[in-house]
Amino acid sequence: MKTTHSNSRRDFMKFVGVSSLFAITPSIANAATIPHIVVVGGGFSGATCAKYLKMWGGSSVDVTIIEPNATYVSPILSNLVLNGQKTTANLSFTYGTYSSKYSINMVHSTVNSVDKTNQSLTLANGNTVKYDKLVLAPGIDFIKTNDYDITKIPHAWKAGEQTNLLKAQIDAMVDGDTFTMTIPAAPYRCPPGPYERACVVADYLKNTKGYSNCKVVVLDANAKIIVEEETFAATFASYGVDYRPSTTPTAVNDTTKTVTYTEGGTSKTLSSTVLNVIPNQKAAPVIFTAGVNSGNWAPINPLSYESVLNSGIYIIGDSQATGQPKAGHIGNSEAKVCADAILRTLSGVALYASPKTNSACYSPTSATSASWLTGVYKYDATTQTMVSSSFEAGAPSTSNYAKMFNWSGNLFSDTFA
Amino acid sequence: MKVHNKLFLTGYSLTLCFALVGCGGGATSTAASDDSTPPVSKTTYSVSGTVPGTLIEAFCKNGSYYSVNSTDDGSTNHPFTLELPKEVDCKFIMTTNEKDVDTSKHIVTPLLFNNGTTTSSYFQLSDDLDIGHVPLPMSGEGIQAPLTVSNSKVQVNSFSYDPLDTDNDGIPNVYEDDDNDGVVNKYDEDDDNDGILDTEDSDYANDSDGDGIENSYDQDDDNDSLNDSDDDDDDNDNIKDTDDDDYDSSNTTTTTTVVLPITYKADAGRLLGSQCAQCHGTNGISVNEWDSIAGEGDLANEIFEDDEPIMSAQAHGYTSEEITLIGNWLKTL
Repeated sequence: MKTTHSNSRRDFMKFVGVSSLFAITPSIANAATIPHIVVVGGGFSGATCAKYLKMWGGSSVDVTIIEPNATYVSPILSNLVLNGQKTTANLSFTYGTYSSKYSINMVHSTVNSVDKTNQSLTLANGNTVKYDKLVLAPGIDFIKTNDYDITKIPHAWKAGEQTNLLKAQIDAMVDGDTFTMTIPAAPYRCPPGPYERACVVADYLKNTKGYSNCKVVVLDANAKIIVEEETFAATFASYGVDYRPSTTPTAVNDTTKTVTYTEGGTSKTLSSTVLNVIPNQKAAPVIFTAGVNSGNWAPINPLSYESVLNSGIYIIGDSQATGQPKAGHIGNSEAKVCADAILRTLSGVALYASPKTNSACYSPTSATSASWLTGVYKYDATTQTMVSSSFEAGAPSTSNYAKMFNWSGNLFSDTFA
Repeated sequence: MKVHNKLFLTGYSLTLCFALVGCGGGATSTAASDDSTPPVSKTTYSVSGTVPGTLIEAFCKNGSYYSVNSTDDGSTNHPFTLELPKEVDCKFIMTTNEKDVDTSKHIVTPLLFNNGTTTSSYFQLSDDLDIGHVPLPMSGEGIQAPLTVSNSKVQVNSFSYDPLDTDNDGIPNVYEDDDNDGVVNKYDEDDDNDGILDTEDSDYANDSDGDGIENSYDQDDDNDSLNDSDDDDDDNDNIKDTDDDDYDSSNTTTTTTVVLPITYKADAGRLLGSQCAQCHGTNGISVNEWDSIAGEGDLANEIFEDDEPIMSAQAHGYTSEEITLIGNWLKTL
């Protein structure tokens, strides 16, 4: 290895601006720098926001996604991995074609710190990234009752390895075993999701595996089924699911596979062959790092999704604090309002005063049937919040099961393609 | 990896589109008017100039790489021409004394471009460009101060985040000397001096050429001037991709690109209508049997007559004014 040094990059800085060709020109301050929008998180909200920023803003903006994973596994449809109808590979998305199609910079790293004064992020890979607008779309974090091993007690509420772990545990069950899941206190990601999972697993054990003596126990921290109550109550009854509302987990033991919970003021402990604890939830860590939280979530202005605590920082998807549900479909929806608002702001155009968002979800209730739930949200100028303007549910059917894949297909494509 | 398809089809359909547009459109084109050949949409343009004896390298923001040596024509001003992709942001690094086997003796000069309003290392071509003579330094060693090329015709884009220069010090990542051993990363076979050759080092597995753009997003993983879609050996390990189990198979096919706008124009109908895309596809083009709604001519009736209960549940969430705005936008698609 040679030891003689050429000019180091430090020496180089002394020479900047010394020589020029046709004219001496300032090479540092540059008013014409294209605004840089950094989107943290490449899930349903983040990927949609970056795509629409470029689709609508084109070369007037430079967009970078910072996302830890090179492959995103959709939580949407991931309950179908548990009954073997999908694999996590079927639900995986990469960013290669997507990023070249829309000229989006991809950085696979995580944010270590946010310097709001200098508008820059320090990443785990050591790089510093400056931003003009910062969009945080980081999803959720868990509030566990105590420290336990999630490879033994999987939540499977972020899809991928966790989903496959839970599937392997379910597949190892024999007739007579018990599957127990806990449903977190609202708000949490994907309101119908846990109820849907209980149905899919009960159906799988009973009808696919043919186990007539397996038990499915649902401990719900909420006082009742919080969405599609009629649908899920009837489906639970048909499978013989042991549903216990107002049960709050207080401790989980990964060695004994037990969950301790309070029910009616009494502490009880339940042991289960498979224990699927879905912990209570809060905004992802970067929201707290950036200091844009109030309590567990990040309050925003629904006209733009800009933080009410820090201008120039926007929060979309599960981490934001509006009453809109936390889920991929509406995260995609919020992302478009946010992207348009950022482009309006950069262009000096007033924000659109009455944005609409929508939510839709098809929930499998067996290997052949699915229900649905949908809603439209409108901005209420008096309360400055998003309020429901239409809300309906559809009962489980085989035709809805088929339509579920049309819904997810276009949603996936609108987000990642 | 090289895949022989699509390219020709794309080229054909582009030409066809152009011809059709030409029939309906006004006389906007003046070029080649005395020629019956239909105008061909160019995908590359050339940049030319003169330099002292020089290696000219272009590093582009999509990871692609192009290089050429100037031609020794006996004069002191050696001409060069380099073809670069259309409308892709690229930067120039020019190296004199480039033939010295001791790479630390190379004289490496980054260029800056100034078009009167913007100065940046990045320029892009939408026509051929002649940058004239570039008086590169012929003495010194290593990285030099940047030279500024002023040319009012060139499109110059300045970015606060530069994936090819992640510490933003004006020196591209490949010309950094990460381990301070006097050999820049480009010529250093062990960039981090950990005793493991870069080609075997897991630290560099995701970015074979060390340009700062991961292989999955790099149009030219090994900076050998062959884009991966045309390259039989993407990671330049002398094992053909078809026999190689460790190259990155992204970017192996030419992907459809979308035409992105130059500027943003606010459009309430588009904002509201984009909320249909979750179920009906981006810009109203469904990817499955659910209805495409691009070009829908009678949204106001269609939206309520739909026999899907989930559609009518959505429809009732919108005012007639909003439906009119959305319908007007859909007609433009």
